[in-house]
Formats: sequence, structure tokens, C-alpha cells
Amino acid sequence: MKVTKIKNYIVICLFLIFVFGFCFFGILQKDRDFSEMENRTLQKFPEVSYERIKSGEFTKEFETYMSDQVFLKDELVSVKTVTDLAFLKTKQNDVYFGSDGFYLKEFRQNNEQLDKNVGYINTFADKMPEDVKVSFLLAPNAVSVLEDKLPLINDTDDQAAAAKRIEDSLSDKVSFVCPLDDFSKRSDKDELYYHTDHHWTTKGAELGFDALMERMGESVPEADFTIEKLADFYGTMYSQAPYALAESDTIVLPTQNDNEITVSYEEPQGDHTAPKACKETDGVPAKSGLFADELRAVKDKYATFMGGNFTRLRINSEGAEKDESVLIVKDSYCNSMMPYFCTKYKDITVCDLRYFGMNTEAVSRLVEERGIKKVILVYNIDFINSDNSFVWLE
Amino acid sequence: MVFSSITFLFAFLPAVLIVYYIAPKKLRNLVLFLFSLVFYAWGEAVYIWLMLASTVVAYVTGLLADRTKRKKDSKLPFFAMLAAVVWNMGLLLFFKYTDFFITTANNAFGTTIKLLGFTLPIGISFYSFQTLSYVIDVYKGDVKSQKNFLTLGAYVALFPQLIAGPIVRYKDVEEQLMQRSETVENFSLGVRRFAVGLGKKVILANNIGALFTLISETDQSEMTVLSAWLAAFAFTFQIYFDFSGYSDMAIGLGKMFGFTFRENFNYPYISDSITEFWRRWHISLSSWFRDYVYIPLGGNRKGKARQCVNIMIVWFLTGFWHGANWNFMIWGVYFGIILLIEKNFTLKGLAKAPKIVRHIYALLLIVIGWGIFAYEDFSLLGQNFANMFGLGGVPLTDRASVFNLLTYLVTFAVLIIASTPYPKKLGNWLENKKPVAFAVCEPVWIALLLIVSTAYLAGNSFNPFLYFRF
Repeated sequence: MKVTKIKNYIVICLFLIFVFGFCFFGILQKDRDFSEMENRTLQKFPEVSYERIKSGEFTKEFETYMSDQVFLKDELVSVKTVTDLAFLKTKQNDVYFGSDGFYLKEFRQNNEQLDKNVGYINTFADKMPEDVKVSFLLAPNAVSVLEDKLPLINDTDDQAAAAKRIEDSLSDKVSFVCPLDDFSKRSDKDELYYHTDHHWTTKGAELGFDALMERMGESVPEADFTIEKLADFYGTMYSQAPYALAESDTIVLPTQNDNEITVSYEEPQGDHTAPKACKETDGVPAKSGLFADELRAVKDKYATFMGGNFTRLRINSEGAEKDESVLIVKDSYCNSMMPYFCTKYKDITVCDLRYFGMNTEAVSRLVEERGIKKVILVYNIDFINSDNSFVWLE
Repeated sequence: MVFSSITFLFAFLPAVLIVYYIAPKKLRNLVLFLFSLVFYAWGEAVYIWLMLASTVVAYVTGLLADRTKRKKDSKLPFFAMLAAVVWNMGLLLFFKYTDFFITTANNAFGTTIKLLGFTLPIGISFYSFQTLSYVIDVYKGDVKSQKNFLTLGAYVALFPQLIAGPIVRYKDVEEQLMQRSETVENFSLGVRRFAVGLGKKVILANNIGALFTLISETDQSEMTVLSAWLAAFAFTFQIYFDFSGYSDMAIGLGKMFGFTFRENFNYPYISDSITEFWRRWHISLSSWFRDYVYIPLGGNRKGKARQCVNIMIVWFLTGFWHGANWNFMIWGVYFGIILLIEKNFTLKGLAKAPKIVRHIYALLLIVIGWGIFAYEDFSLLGQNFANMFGLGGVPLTDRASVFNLLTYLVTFAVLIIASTPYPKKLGNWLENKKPVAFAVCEPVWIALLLIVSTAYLAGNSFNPFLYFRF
């Protein structure tokens, strides 16, 4: 009887601590603008007015505010991920929890989008003058290279089939390479992809560059690099299903010795603003070096390469092997390849079609204006399978 | 506002608890009444006037319907009771069913009458039934009329049961409204009940509800027989844990404020027949229909044929109560017919069958029933049943459906166990045999439920609430 009584008090205290504790500390703690862990902006305390209360806007935003700014938010999100894992849900928000701490993004082949995008590439390539060579590096994703790390129960499609479909329908004008097989056979393949991010590592990017050079019939220049490392990197896939036990990644930033590199942000619209170190010359922000220093400390550290993705950049690499102008059309996988491209070509124009608009100068005009003889496409399979910005190639 | 939200847990609840327990006993009904109004007005402020108007009507007609206060041959009480019936049914018909009738007429006669386009006032189906039962009970002399408007107002608006029941009858809480003792034991019982309810709703119902939503949004070209059955079972579990979880939270909150509500669910999925199922499912609703429709219609006292008609009327209305749509009516009639068949023919024979057969029989009919309930769109409903029974021309399984089955295997296992009384029995056994161990385990278990539920709410996951629209 006595035990029951004590237990009643324990249960009540526990509940009151729970309700009042979260309430009290929630009020006490400072509101955050942004969740690094989930990689999204959080709701601030909503504006109060009679009109907003009447229309229900206030209450709606207040509910979002309460759950966004709840005390111990990051820890709670972690608890949710772990609970889902306890229910053996190895797929959360389209990301699989693979073995050895790899997050692997599910791939669902979308033939309609694939065929459309390849069509745009073909039209573009076929319109190019005879003497312009078009090459295409298709980067495989971790989910296929590290297939053996997927959970036993999974519902992801085979990227080899998607790569084959692309290769088969590409115009003869395009030299195509997809290093999926080579990557899968490597004994160090674990080092080619980040555990918590959807990109390939600098090592993966280097191997991708090597494969591209081989396909283009060119040599890979000998170059010395100074290596810098960025630890504690939690990438985009971690944000999909964050939990405290996940292991962080390290980003390798290679800087070529004895090379002067200048990056001009010609069309600086994109997912970031042009790096802080930029100085304007003739109205174009430009800086030396490939990395954006202010992004080393933020969560999305991968953006340190080039400072993110921009409509158009122009890179001048003084110490490059060849005094040649090339044009690269790419997604973010290409950003970590730039140190290697800079060893090879002196004048590199880099376009990201995602940020193109009606007023952006067309890629084909650039080729003409800048006397470009080599156009290189760099895309990862997941991207070409889902993105709809290829239309800007035309 | 709903219970399963961070706003309720860490803003509303602490506020109401602190004000309520600081307030002197005399003012506690006022505190509950005011907080309940905020609770109701949250998100949809306009309809609060409708609920208050309903309370006024109940208050006035209740006083007038009190026959003990009138001469024996006075007709006034009867007309007052009638007025309450007309008001409440009128309200329901107008706000819930007008657009349905207009659409039906437009379809049938090719007319183009404009729809009213009102959003359904939250909880109207519940509070209409409650106020109505109050006036009828007063008229019948089962209960005295309430002279204090605030007390009646606190009863109607009482936030634990306001928006989704259980349908608490005035006569059950009359004494508690005027004099209740908030005890440590009740409060701790309330906490336990609330934590279990929150877990049922947030951890179980939302989890399996995500599977139902995933499959029901799948294109027909990618459906399989297995997917259709997975969806049917997913919905079966979702609606039970969603609604019974909400009832548990309501009962638990009631206890924290000194109220005892009647149980609304009693492990419905362990039933061996549909007759038994309806004794265990949404008890406050089926008993309301029994007491205020079936028995006044004559129940079983006017011969077998009349009884069958009465049963069908009750079940048609039960279905219709759930929503202004044909599928809900079909759902009601479906159960009405099964109940009639069981009552007149099969129930005795069924009793001789092995338990496992009876159980599979009942479950199958229940799952099919939810299949009717889940799809408001007729072509989807038809397609779903065609898919389930292999007539939809869809393959038996594919990779995606097997993946879903395997991914949700653990969840289904937990849901099945949680649908039975065994976890509770285990708790009771432990409490008797090892009281000290139990005294340690239970608080840990409750803390776990609360924290994990909060984690799901904070993780911005899928959190619909099915009974919100009734």
C-alpha cells in the first residue's frame, strides 16, 4: 500500500517536471533562427495582431514556433530517429541507414526525366560545331558503389541500368564515361563517399577526374597539393534523419602548390552569395583560391568548395598544364573536382543550369564567344534522374 | 487545439494546471470554462459563438423541461425538450449535411444550387449530442436541471472531451461538476492514462498512418494485392490507436481535474463477433444511440419485425453521424445488416465454432468495414476492394509492397500486442507479485512514453487526427 502511494507521487512529480520543465526552459532559452542539425530555418515568435489571430495565421505559426523552438529540440529529433530505428525502419525520409555508418540515399529510376534530360544534352551536342568536343562524366552515387552496405531490406533501383540507358541514348557526339564499375571494384571504395552527405569525397572527385581525362584521351598532370582537413562535417543526409550516434566526416581541401588561381563570380546568383573575400573588378566579384573561408565553420561545409553553386563562374588558373579554354556544365559533384581541373586547364567557365533564367547568356553563345573547343558535362546519376533544369542547355 | 501537440503539452496544459490548482474550489469551474473556450477558439475562433449559443439553448430548455418544477399537465416541458431536439438536429443538419444534400440534389436533378462551403465546426457532433442528452434526461426526470449557467457551460465546453469525445453524459458527471475531490491517486492515474494515450496516438497511430497514406497515394498502376491489404490493416490500426488514444488522453486529463469519464473502448479487436465488437468500440456513441434512438423507437418491445427496423435505423444514423458522405452510410448499414444476421441466425452457431475461427471471422468483417470507411471517393472505394480481392488486375506483390511489409513488420507486431489486454495484464501481474520492481518500472515506462512522444511531435512528423472531422 505504501509503495503505491510513493509511486503515485513519483509519477505526478515526473509529469509536472515534464510539462513545466519543457515549458520553463522553452521560455528561458534563446530562440534560434536556424537549425544546423536539420539544415532549415526555424519559425520565430509570430507577430500578434487581432487580424492575424482572427484569421488563424497567428495560431498556426505559434504551433510551428512551439515545435521548432521546443527545449532540447535537437536531442528530441535524435530520439525520434533512434525510435524509428528500433522499429527497424532502416529507411527514413528516403535515406537508408547503411552499415559502417553510411547514410545512403534511395535511388528510384525515373525514365521520363532521364530521357528528357539526355534529349536536351543531345540537341545541345549536335548543335555544337564540328571542332568542339563534348564529354560527359556521369558520377555514380554511394547507393550503388556501396551497394553492399545497404540494409538487407531495401527498395532502391540499380544505377547501372540507369547509366546504361543514358549511354545507349546519348548522341555519338558525346564522349561518355561512368566509373561505376571501377569504383565498385576498388578496395578503398569506402573512402570515395561521405558517410553523412550525398556527395563524393575529394578522393572520389579525383578518381572521377582521372576517368574523365582517360576518356578524353588526355593525361593527368603531375601536381603537388597542400592538404587541409575540415573535421566535424555532418552532411545533407544526416539532416534527413539526424541522430546523436552518427559519425562525422572530414572534408579534404587540396590546394595546388605554386599555382595562382582566380575565381570570378560572373553570374553570382546561386544557393550562396559570392564569398566574402571577393573584390569587385569591373563589376564582377572575384577572389583568389577555390575555397570560401567563411563556410569552413558552418554546417554545410561542402560549400567551402567554390563557395557553393552559382550560375556562372570563370576560373583563371595560371599554373595549369594547358593554355586552353574549356566550359563545364555541372552539378555540385563537380565543385570538389575543381582543384584537379585547375591543374589541367588555364581558362575554365563553369555553368550551373539550375540558376539559369531568361536573361542568362546561353551556353552555346559562351562557347562561340570564348573560342571554346572542349565542353565537359559533370553530373551525378541521382541529379540527371530528377533535375529539370537541363532545358536551359537549348 | 489537439492534445498531441507541443503547444498543448508545454503551453496550454501547464497554464491550466497552475491556474486551476491555485484557484479556490468555488472558482474552479470558471477556470475550466474559460480555458476550455481558449482551447476551442484556438485556430477557429468564429465557431465559439455557436457552441456558446448551444449552451444557452441547453440551459434555457433544460430549465423549462424540468417537469418537477411544473404542473403535472403542463405541456411546456415537452415543447422545451422538442425545441432542444430541433435546435441540435438543425445545427447538425445545417453545418454538417447541407452541402451533402445540395450536392446529391445537384447530381440527381442536374440543378446547380451553390454550396454553402462552411468548414465543419469542430466537435459539433459531440457537443450537440451531449447537450441534447442533458435536456432529454431532464425531461425524463433522470436528472435535475442545472440552475448555474457556469456549471452547465463548464460541462459542455470541458476541454478534455470537447472536440472528440468520449460523449460524456451530464448525468454521469452532475455530482462531479458541483463537488469533486482532486486526489493524488486520481491525478497519478490521470498521468498514466494520458501518457499511454499520447503514446498510442503519436508513436503508434501516426507511424502506421504514414503507411496507409503512402499506399493510398500510390497510383493504381503500381498497386498490388498485398499493398491493398497492408493499407486495410494499416487503417484498421490507425483509426483504433488514433481514436482510443485520444479517448485515453481525455479520460486521463479528466482525472487530473477530478472527473471520471466512462470508458470509450474495451479492446475492440479481440472481439469474436461484430455484436461483441460494437460493445467494445466507441462505447459512448453506441450507448447514446441505444438510449436516445433505439429505446425511444420501441427497441425490442414491439415485436421482432419492428426491432429489425429499429436496428437498421440506428445503424444508418450511426454511419451518417460519422460524416456527410455515402460511404459512411454504407458503412453503418453494412454493420446494421451484419448485426441483424448475427442476432437472428448466426450468433448461436458461431459460438460453437473454435475461437480462432470466430476471431478471424470478426476481424475480417471489421477490416472490410474500415475499407468502406476509409474511402470517401466511390471509385477509389470500389477500386480498393477490387485490388484486395484480386479483381483489380493488379499483381499479387511487387518489390515495393514486400519492402513495406518487411519494414513495418515490427510496427505491426507492436500494434497487434498493444491491441490486446496482455500488456495490461502483465502490468497487473507485476504489480501484485513484485510491487517494488513495478514501482520502479512504471515511472520509467511513463517517462519513456512522454519523451518519445515529444520527440515525434518535435520531429515535425506526420500527425493527422482522424476524428477531428466528425
